[in-house]
Amino acid sequence: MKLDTRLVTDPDRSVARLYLAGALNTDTAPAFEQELQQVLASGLQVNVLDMRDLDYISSAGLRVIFKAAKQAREAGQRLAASHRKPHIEKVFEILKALPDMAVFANDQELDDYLDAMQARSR
Amino acid sequence: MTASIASRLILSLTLSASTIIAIALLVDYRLSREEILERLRVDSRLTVVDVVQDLERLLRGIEGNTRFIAGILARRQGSEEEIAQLLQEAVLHHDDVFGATIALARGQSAHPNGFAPYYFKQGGGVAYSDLTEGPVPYWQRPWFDDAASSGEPRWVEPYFDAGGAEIYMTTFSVPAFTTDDQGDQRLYAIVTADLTLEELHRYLKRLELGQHGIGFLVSREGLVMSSDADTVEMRPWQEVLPESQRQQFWLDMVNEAEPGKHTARHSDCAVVAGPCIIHMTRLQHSGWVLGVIYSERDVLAELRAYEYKVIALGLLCLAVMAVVVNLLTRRITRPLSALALSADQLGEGHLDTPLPQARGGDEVARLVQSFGHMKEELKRHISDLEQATANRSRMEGELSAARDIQMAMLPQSGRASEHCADFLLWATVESARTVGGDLFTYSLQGRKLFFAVGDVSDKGVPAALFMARSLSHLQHPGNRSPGQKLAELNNALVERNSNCMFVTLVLAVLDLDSLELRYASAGHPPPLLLHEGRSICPLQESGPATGLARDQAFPDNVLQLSPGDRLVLYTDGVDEAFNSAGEMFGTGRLAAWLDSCAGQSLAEAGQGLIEAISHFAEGVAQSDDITLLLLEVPRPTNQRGHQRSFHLTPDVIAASLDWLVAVLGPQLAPEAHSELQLVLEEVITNIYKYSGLGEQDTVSVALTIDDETVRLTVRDAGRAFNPLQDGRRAALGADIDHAEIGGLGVHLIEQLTDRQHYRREGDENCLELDRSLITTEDSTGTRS
Repeated sequence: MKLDTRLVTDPDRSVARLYLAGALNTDTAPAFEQELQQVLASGLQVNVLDMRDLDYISSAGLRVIFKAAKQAREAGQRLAASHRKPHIEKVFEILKALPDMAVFANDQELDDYLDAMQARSR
Repeated sequence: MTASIASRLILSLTLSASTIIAIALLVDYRLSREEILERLRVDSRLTVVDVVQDLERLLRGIEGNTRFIAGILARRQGSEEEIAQLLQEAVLHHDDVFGATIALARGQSAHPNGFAPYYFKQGGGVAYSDLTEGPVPYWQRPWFDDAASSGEPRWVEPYFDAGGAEIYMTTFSVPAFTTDDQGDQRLYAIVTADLTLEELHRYLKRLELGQHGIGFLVSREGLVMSSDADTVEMRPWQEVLPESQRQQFWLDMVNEAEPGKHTARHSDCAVVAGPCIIHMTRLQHSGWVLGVIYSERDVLAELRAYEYKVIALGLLCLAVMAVVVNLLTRRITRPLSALALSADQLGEGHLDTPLPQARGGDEVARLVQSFGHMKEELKRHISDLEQATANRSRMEGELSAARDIQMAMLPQSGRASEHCADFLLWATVESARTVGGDLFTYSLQGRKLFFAVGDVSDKGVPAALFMARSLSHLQHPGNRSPGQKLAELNNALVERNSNCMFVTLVLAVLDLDSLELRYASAGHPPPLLLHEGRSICPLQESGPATGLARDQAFPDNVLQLSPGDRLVLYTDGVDEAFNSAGEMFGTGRLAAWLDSCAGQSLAEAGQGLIEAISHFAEGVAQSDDITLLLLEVPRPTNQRGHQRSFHLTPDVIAASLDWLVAVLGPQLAPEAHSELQLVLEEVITNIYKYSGLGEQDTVSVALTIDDETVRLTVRDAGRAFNPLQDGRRAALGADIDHAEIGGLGVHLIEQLTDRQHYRREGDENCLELDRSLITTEDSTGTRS
């Protein structure tokens, strides 16, 4: 099982969307960590992990997200997750992971959030 | 200090030279000493003879003169005036005579006190003294009495002439007799002549005696008349020699001395320090003893001084020699020291170190040349060696890669373990070399299990290549019988086999429903069967080894198995393993092992046999590849079980998850399916990262499913570790600032399974995880 990623950035709204497809597990986590570090390093305000095509996540994957979230917060950035499949959501819930992390069920919620963020920053 | 050549040379040369010098000096001293002493003996004898002759002449002169006067008086008794005249002339004309008297016997003179005029030398002239005037009458004095009573001329014992000349002297007295008419002789007078001890002393001084040599003259009665003292003396010899021990020695010597006979001694005389050389003789008329004493020490003093000079010169020569040797050896060894430094550098691998310059064609220069030659040879050799090592390590690398590739051709990389509901299978290949010619394979097609074990002739790379070729032709036979499949394989291998390699193998198909085993053999040992706890070796019909001649027939053999039966396929590396005594492991031990392992799992039994063979061979290198395949038909249960071992390579997680997906099939709900994968991944990840095991080690994963529960059992031989208790466990629900990174896996394992149990079994960690398949509210209560 492997992990494919695709990055879409919207510099105008200072948003980066990283699409994850496949499995985020022990094998794929190290490469993903590097990639996520690069995304955060580009300095955009809001970084969204789009999990609509993510089939599988293990604790190793969550660890990477944890670490990145912590780092983002220290840098004044936001890391959010969206479109989690039910069993992915379950893993998040079991680990009570990131209670204060923004999570969006669909595009509408995400757009609303982004608009609100933009409105606030103006 | 380490002894350098210089110091050793100096030491040995100095020692030998000084020994030679010392011996030469000693010999020289001995010889010179003997010679000197001998010369001294001769000289002293001659000197003594000379002095004795002089003295005797002196004494004879005095004696003759005195006797002559006495003769005159005996014939004609002159008047007092004539007598005085005679005496005056005698004293005046005889140089050696100090004084003289003519003392008339009592009664021959008209004077009551007798008549004794005495004339003696004084100043340049002659003095007169009247001897009748002394306190004692002169006829009682020894010089008178001795001669008068004996009637013979005599030398009187020395005395001090009190009342006369007042000096030490000795006197020769001659009696003069007159004959009366009757012919009787009557003493008329005593005629004397005096000799001063000073005169005697002067004679003695003519002895050349050296600093410590002593000449002496002793009277008949033992009065020392002259010795080494400067002035005249007169002492009893006992006074001169207070040591009573030596007195006897001297007494003996004096008694031995006879006129004309020389007595010599070389001994300790107590007169001078050290040994003395003594020479002695007796004078004829006076009976005096004349002697010389030489101090040996004194005589040899010059010799000693000479020897000391020679020793000093020798020491100087030794010192000069040491300096010269030192300079010379340093000159010789300097290039050697430099060479040693260079050799050290060479030894440390600096082969470009320059060697010291060596001039000339001596041994050192030749050594330096040899070193230079050796250095070049060493360089060349090392370069060759580097080349060879590079080649060898490349070869080894290639062989190692070849081994990996070869093992990858075999199911589960050569160590297979399969647990299915219908059969259990365990197989292994132990190559004698890096690569080998043994093979096994198995595959399941529908309800038919196909498996084969084979052995390529020869070993090593050729066998490995032919094994790969054989393996490529070995796939499931489909509807063909094993015999037909073997015949096909045989024809395929005969093609382009100019080396006449061949393979022996057993190829079998087991019908999992009917448990009918159909197998064909190409010159391979038949399978062994364990049935009802007893080993059986079924008879088989076999064809020839494959690869040698085309169109061969391989008859099928049929064996009906029962549940619980075990089948063993092996290559000849098992039964033909040799020990150091040259014995073969043999089928007897193989059958005994099979009988003994009935209660063990296939893996335990197989591992046990491999260890038994290794123990049997004990130090003898494995001679042939060993392949062992064990197959068991389990007794029926309602459980479906699967087991598989995975090497802890980087892809262990992917491999174990793939296996899990394959064995689960579509029989579980997708959610349970996915969550079991997640659980297994967490468990395997833990073991992979933290067990301390390496790629050679395996983790065993077993899955059993019945109608209610699915159970994952994971075993590893790593360090004892209970992930449920000992594992790091992050606190959950913290906000991002306090959340821990890591320590999440154990939460997932606990939440996604219903029962977790850890135990340590022997050297193994065993983790059992149960998940209920009944999806009621109660049973899912613990799960979210």
